[in-house]
Amino acid sequence: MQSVLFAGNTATVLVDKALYDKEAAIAAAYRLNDRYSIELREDGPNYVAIFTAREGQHLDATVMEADMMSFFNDLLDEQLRIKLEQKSGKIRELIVQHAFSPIDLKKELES
Amino acid sequence: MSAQAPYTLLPFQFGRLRGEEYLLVNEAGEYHFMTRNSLESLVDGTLPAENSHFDELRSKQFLVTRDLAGTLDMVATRYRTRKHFIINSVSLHMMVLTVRCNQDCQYCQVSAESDEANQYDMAPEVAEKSVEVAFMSPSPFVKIEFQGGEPTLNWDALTRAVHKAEELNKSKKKVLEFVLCTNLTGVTTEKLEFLRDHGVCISTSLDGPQPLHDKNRLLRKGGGTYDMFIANLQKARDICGDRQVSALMTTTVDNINHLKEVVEEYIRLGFPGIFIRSLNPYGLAAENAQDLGYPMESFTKRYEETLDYIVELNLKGKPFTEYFATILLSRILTPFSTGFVDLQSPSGAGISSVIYDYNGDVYPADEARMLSRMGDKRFLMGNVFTDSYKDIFGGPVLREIVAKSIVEIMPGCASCVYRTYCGADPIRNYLETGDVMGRRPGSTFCKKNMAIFESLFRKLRDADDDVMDVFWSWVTRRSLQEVRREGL
Repeated sequence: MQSVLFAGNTATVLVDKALYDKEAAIAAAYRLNDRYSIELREDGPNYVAIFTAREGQHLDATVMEADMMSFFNDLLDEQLRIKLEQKSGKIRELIVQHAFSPIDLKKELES
Repeated sequence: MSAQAPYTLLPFQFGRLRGEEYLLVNEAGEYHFMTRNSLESLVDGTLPAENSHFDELRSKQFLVTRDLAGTLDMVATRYRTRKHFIINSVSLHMMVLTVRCNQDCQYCQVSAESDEANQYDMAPEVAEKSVEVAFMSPSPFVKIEFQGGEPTLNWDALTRAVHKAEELNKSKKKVLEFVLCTNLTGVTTEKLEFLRDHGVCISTSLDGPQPLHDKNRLLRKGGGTYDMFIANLQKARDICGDRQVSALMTTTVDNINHLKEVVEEYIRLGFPGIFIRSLNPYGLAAENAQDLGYPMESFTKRYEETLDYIVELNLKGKPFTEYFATILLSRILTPFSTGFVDLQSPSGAGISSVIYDYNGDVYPADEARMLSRMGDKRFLMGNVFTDSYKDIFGGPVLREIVAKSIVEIMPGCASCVYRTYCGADPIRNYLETGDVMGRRPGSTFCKKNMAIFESLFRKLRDADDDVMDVFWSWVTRRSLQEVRREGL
């Protein structure tokens, strides 16, 4: 379940833990940290992200709604990145390692 | 590889380009466009071999169906080629011959001093010692760039440095180049003849037609510099040759809405291209930001419009290059490292280029030297008289810069789709956020580069034949006609 509640200069977002990793929520929230102070905590089946507009940021309701939409889109992308990293992260490390100090790739891949 | 997947997934970054269309970029620098649905299938390991993307993804090394080790070897070779600047070591050595300047430009990044302030001159002995240090670099290339202030005001140090470098190079046999960054207002026939005789290239500044140029590029004693600039530009070309003189522009609030006129002025004066450069937040430019600055969104919008205009000019038969786009396109369309120190990972500051201040202090970048002038010596790497080469280039300052400017591991950069082609600016990060690693959200550096990358990738996606021909002519430094003949 995902939902968002707006109150004044604050938006409270629920992120379903069954669908998203904490890392995905953090990474998606990070993108908005120039405009909002962000508190992230766990609450039962959800992560709760509280976005409070930073001082000096005059964000009206339309802008905040757009920002939260953007957060949910980024959340999807970040979760996909986690999956991609799980599948190709080791290979990425081997590529970088081999680029600067050649290694026995066949042996490394079998290990 | 999962049991069902007919392929092994190789690492890449992705990002939304427009609507449901995504851009994918891998470690080899290859890119590919696909929809969100196809991207999900690819990552899930369920993209069927019959899918229209499959063969292309395999040839671009986004996935492998056989010989994983062989493919990784190939990708690693391409990765190494892109990072070759690290192996090359420092090759650009900038020397601040003086902080004095006869001009009082409103956006001066170095907060130059008046032309009587001789205490800010580099002593000839410091110039010679700095050259000695430059030649200690393992790089086979040594480019010495004379900066200021106005470096021609300390001619003695300049000539001593040139002679010293030439003398050292008799035994070192490096590829030696000199560049003089000058406003051209103080050059004489005699000085220009010296530059010609020693192969010193001239890099000067031109902000546009007279009213735009004279808006900010003023003489300290009063009055504009355009007329003097034009006269001396001609003299410099007559003596040194047209190709030895290039120019840079700075975008301010005064010319941001007139960039086409700036381009036309460059063409009128016979320059082969332009680098549309935004204002950097240092020195007087930072102090005068209220009067000279603009939102980065305005810059990127104007940049895109001007780029379109320049492409159009090329298609109408006027060969003319936009150099920043050329650097980015070279990274995107070719496997090579471009050597543009402002956009490397790890940052080129200190490992590709270095700056020697008038007193022999060594900094990783001009901006770091500027910070020291503002009272913060955090990036001081050492001094040519008191520290060894190893101390300067192997010390804690440079180690920190390198460790904290690798976009592959920086928050916000690591997963950015453009990171294979991008880089970091640790000094600017520190200036803007107090942290060498900085923060991507809200960063003007990031905003600018992301917007320009996005704009270029939209053009690459559209793949208009004419636009692509112009881009290739820039990247390969050939005429449009040559590019098109080759395409036949």
